[in-house]
Amino acid sequence: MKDSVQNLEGNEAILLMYMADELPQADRLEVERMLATDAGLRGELEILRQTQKLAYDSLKTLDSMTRPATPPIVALGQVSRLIHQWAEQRRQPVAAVAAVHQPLPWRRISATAAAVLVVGYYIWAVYQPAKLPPPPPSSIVTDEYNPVNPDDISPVPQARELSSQEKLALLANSLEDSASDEASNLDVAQVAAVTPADSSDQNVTGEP
Amino acid sequence: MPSDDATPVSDETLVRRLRGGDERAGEELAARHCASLMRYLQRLVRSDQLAEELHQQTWTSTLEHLDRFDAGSGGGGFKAWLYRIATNKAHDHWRARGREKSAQQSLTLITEETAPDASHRLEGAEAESSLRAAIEMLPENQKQILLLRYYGNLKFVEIAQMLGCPLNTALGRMHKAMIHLRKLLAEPRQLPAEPQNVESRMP
Repeated sequence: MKDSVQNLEGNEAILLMYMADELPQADRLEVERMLATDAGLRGELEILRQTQKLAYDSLKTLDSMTRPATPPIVALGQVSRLIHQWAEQRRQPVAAVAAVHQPLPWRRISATAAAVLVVGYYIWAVYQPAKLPPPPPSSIVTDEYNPVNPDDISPVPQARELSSQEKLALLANSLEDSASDEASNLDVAQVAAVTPADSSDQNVTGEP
Repeated sequence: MPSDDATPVSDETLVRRLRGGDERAGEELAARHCASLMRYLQRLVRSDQLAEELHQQTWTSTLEHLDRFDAGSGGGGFKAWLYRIATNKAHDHWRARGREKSAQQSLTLITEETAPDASHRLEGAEAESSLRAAIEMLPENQKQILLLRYYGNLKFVEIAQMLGCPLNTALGRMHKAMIHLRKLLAEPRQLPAEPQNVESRMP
């Protein structure tokens, strides 16, 4: 940057850089030394300052006379929304990548294995051949159990005990039968005792 | 001149915070530069609607490329970078409009740039018209440096780097712009009553 002043073409360029305070310290001191001794250069600088002030004042005046393209608060709101959307989009890919690169969920694997074992055991238990309790020897009806196929696992027919209701029903039937037999015997005896004459009458009537 | 420098935290620090997810840092950046950037675009493209559109495009592009911003790369600070993006957006628009215009050369187009909007007519004070016309009469390359210097408060080195021209060229254009403007304001009869078609003086 030491060469900046030497590379600048014309006093205007040097003075513009001097006014903008963009010269290195050494160059700035050099310009100030020249200004102190050169009245013509000081005049140039003054004209340049006034011209720059005129240009800047023109823009400032124009800005004060015209509305901005968008009210500042509206423009700021628009940019704030853009920033928010941008930040949201920036966060989303990070979350997705984190989900993809998540280490193996050992707890989930353990829980899944346990569930598979439980279900498998249940299925095995359901389809396991039923084990029959040993039947009492007295109730086996050997005549009715004649398996042809030794693999036949159908339950062996057993003589079952009658329930109390069935016993009562059988008892009632037998009583009814015996009662009806007695009644019929009684009727016959009564008829025989009561109707000897009738029978003669019947005989009188010509029956043998 | 808008003053953006009297701030305790630098733009670059705010950029770092914004990269880290601090949205408030981004809002602080926007609060610092929104108004002056909008004015810059408004003066540059001479259309309020287009200025607003380019302003949003500029911030969108700035955010999209925020990770690429390197304050230590010698390309200037965040502000210079922001104005460079805005200027590039304006140039992109001009290029697109240039293609559009060449495709429709047989038609007489009255674009929004050629017809000042109603608000401007209502405010049409003579002084305002003269100032506007004087600034718009400046050659585009001179006006651009003047606007970047005034609204962006950018260094001449940064402006030269941004526009891809030697420092001497940037300084020469700035000087010519100021002289030209002084002359135009001193002789208002040279100024047109209405702004000329911006398309005819595109860079």
